[in-house]
Amino acid sequence: MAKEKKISTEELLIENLKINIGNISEMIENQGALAFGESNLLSLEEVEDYSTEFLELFVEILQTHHQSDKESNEYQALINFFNHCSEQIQIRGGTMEEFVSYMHFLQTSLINGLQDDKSMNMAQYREVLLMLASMFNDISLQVFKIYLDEKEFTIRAQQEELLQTSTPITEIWDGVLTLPIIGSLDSSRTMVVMEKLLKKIEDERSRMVVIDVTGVITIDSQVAHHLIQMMRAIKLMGATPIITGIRPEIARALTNLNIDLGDVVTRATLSDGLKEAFRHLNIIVKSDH
Amino acid sequence: MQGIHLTLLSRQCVLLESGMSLNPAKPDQYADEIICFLQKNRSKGLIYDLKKISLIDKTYFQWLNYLDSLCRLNNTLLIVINMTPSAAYGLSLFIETFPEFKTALDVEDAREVILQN
Repeated sequence: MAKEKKISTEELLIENLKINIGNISEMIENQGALAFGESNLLSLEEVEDYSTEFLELFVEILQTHHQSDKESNEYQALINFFNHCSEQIQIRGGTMEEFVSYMHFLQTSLINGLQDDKSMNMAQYREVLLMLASMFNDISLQVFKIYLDEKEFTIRAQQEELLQTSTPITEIWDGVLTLPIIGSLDSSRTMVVMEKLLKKIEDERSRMVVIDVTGVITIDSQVAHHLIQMMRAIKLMGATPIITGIRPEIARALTNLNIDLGDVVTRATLSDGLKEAFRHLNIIVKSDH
Repeated sequence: MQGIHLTLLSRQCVLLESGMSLNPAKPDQYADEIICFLQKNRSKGLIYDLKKISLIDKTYFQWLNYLDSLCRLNNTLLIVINMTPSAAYGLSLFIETFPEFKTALDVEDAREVILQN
């Protein structure tokens, strides 16, 4: 009995759409032109195309009764349509709010189209409204989820890129690596830096590693511990680490924290560190002048 | 000997390559043969190749320290070479101080260290 009632609701809506398709389509296009025309987010032709495509997909999903079946092809087609639409708006500088308002006026246009339908009684009208609200809410949520997932993916990719570029390990001379550290060293960053550095030592057969910490503004016991751990791993690989650019405040902090860097070679500047590395390798750099 | 392979590189250096069947939990079973080989060749340095070892746990680390003690008694320098990044990273996590034995990138590097000592 309940199933029959649901089918009749869908059929009622399809019937209404068939009768009012012209008006509804016009309403969507007018509102779309008003909303996007000035900002150039969508051209008039695109608004028309989107309107036609939306109505086709909408009728299709109603005909197959798949409006609640998120796995169905019709539902996925509608989600893809909105997703594409949301992407198009955002690519052109629009916001998620503008996309949501676009969905809102699609819904409003459908509801307005029901206004003059005298064939529906109050209960049927209510059923149709509830179905529309439920469908549009579901679709909004789905599209918003995709949008958030993509944002999260982008943020993660940017973080990864930042991490990679913030630790440029360069072979400045045969067997000499330099690693300038800028910012703070936390556990996850230390792990990434160490992994890259040790791999580079192995690949390049580097004997000297100059780590410049001029860009490290603050240091605490945990960061110092990470630094010591890095020195040990470098030495275990058979390379010699040199730390350069320890700022006065960092030196003071290390002393206050009772942290002993052991027999790690330290130099005031990166230039001094490089000279030390060259001396170690018996490399003589001469100037013609 | 099962688990280890000793090669005389020159009169001063011996290369030790460990196989998969080496049991670091029973270091005594290797001690005699290693010491005999070093003494017979009057070796100044024992170069321990870790190329095939991807992880050094506490037992393996104890074995290396044990071997270092043996070498010191024989006035031989133990130099560990070819430590993999994963082994170096793992070892750096649990050691409190740097080990007594020397480390080098490869055989050539290790020979230089031996000559310097």
